[in-house]
Amino acid sequence: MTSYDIEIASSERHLVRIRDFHIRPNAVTFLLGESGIGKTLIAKALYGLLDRSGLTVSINDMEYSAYVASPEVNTLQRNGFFVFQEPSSHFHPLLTIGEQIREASLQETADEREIAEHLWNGASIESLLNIYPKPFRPSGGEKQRFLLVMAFKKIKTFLRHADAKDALFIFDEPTGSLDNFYRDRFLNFLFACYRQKSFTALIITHDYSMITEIHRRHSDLVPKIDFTEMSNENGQQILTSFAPKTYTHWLSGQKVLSKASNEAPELLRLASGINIFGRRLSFHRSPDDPDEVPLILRAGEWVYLKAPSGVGKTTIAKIIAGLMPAQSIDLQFERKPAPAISMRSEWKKIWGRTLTMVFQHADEALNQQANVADALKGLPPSLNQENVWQHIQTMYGADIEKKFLKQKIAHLSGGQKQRLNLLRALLLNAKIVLLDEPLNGLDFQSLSTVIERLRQKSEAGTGLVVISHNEEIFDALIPKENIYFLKSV
Amino acid sequence: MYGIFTNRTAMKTFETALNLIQKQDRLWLLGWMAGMAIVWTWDYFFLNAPALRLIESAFLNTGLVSLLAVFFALLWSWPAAVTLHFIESKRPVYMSVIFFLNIVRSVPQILGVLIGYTVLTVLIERELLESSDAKLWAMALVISFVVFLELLDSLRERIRWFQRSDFYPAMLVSGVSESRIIQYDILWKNSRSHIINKLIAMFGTAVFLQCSIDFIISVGLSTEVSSQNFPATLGSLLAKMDSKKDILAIGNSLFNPEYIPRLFTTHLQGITVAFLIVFSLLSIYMINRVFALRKRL
Repeated sequence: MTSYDIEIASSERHLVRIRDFHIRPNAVTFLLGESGIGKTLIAKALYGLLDRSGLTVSINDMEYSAYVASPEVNTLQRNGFFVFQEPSSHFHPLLTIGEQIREASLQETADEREIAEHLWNGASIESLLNIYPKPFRPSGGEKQRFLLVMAFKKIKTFLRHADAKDALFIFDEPTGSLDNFYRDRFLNFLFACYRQKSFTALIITHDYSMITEIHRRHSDLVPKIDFTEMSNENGQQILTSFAPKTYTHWLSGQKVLSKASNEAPELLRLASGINIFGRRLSFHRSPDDPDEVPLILRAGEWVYLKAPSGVGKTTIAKIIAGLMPAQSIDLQFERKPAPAISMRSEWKKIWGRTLTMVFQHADEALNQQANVADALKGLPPSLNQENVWQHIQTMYGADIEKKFLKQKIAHLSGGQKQRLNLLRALLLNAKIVLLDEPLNGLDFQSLSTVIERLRQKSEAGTGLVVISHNEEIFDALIPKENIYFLKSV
Repeated sequence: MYGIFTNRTAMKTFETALNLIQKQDRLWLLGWMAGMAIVWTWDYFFLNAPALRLIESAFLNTGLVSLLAVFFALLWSWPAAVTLHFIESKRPVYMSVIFFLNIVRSVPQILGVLIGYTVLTVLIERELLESSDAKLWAMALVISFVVFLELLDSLRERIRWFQRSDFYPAMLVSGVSESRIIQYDILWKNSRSHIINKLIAMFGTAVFLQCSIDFIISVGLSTEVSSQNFPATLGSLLAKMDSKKDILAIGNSLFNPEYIPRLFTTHLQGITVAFLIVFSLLSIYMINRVFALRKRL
């Protein structure tokens, strides 16, 4: 079975309705697209993992319980593996990591060491194996790699059994918590296994830069890789084949932004060496450079702050925004010292005027119960509705209907929420915009629109501080002198 | 067409049934109203006219006072929650207000109402509170003072909960005023169901407190306060000699089943009042419970 008609409905509305979702056997299918439009639901439904309470599900006109009980699905499950999007929810809190990666069909094998060494780049994982998973330990990236260890153990088992034909390996955002270095190690290992014996894999991701990595290092496998993009039109999911060239051409067409001249007004200066929670955070020009430099942002400039997951990029953004205290900090806005965090009334004069911030998760940063128009009300300066509408059209396309303003935020797709999250900041006349993962959950078209809007904003004199794991895109845009590496000691 | 929805009629019937179950709170409200209507119709034919008028007046007064009490409680707690949020950084003022509120909280509600009624009695005796309407408003005010803290705590909890999420600082750094975030985005947009749920519960509490206190003062447990000073309510009506006899008749019928039919004809006043209190409290409780379930609070 390679083509699926999937329908999932709650008592109130259709959640997913797709026709002819093609998963080529013994090929790797990348399912791209903005977040929140049902990609995970589809994957879980296919793998027989969907919680049916309150839902009506059918696959290929088959009632879901019949589908789950079918021998084909049992075979796919027995031979395959499902890597969940949120690593924390995959682990059992009362079993150590070591027990879980060797549980049941994942019994200890000689491959375990090889897999772990590859995913950890040779670092030892022994100390992590005795840990009971907690929200904060091991780190998100480590949990994610342990999930991948489990998946690769099943892949290795599949490779060893010559008679095993059908298996489905589903990876739902397998690199969401990994930086590019470890993401590439995952891809290398996956394709190294694939070269030994082909298998069917479905990889759900928003990370379009994987395309470049695949074309760079695994071009021999391109004929065995499908890129499918899912979009949502009027509540109906549409699947289209995504041509990798669309992304690579767009990326190569991006011009590096010019660095602002020294005469451009200095908007922000943050001295290296911020003490917080017993740690010291410092800025460097490169990961290996021991010299510390201050982070400086001038009008019309983009600054890119890089660091592996968990070092404290978001913490730095919140400290700059006056939302989190540091034990010691030297921060200036327009060459004037920033007020102490306790001086709330002073910060209220800064917020929305001198500075604003786009939070990482649009889901949490927006009032889900409000509608689109509400989210853009109460901003300084107050904008007239016509003006707001024009901005919405530039972000969502000219053909967007006015009723969109009345739509409840909770009912928007993840990509639409993220664009609204960004739009709120871009509507302001703030001189500094802190962008924490601004491309989170966006499909390719939205991503290019957002980059264009950010470009316009900086041309108008706004300074942008970017924190993002989309290194490929921002490395192509931001001059090297404006890239800072954050280290924590 | 998709096979899953081929049997449209069955699906529609299932959806209608599901819809009905999910909206049981409205069914309970309807049931409550229907119960009242049936009792009133029965009383209209079998209860003497002066007693019926008395029950009608007591029921309306009880409902009105409880509704007003809930309205006043909302009137106190909303601004109080917002004010407390803004003065939280001013520790001496904030701590003093919290200390005062804790004192109010430490007084049992029933005692609080009794103290309030004592004050009202003094006002009535000094002829500062004369009309029936004014007395009803004053009774509601007293009840609202002892129950509003429940709503205040609930509102403050909602504000604190949202302060911990990203949505609060994200709006702050966008320059949205804190007052708008709290009042519009948190309380109005995100807490309406919680507030309504609390108000329904407080309506039940107000009915219960009123009936209890009116019964207490009517049977003479307080020398300060007299039921004669206040408009008739279900509680005071229950304490009347006629009603007490009717209630005792229920006990009698337990040992003399042949007496049961007479309960519905000759002992209607007490039975009706008792039924109105118990059935109303049960209905309010069920409306509140099912509403919370429906809204997943």
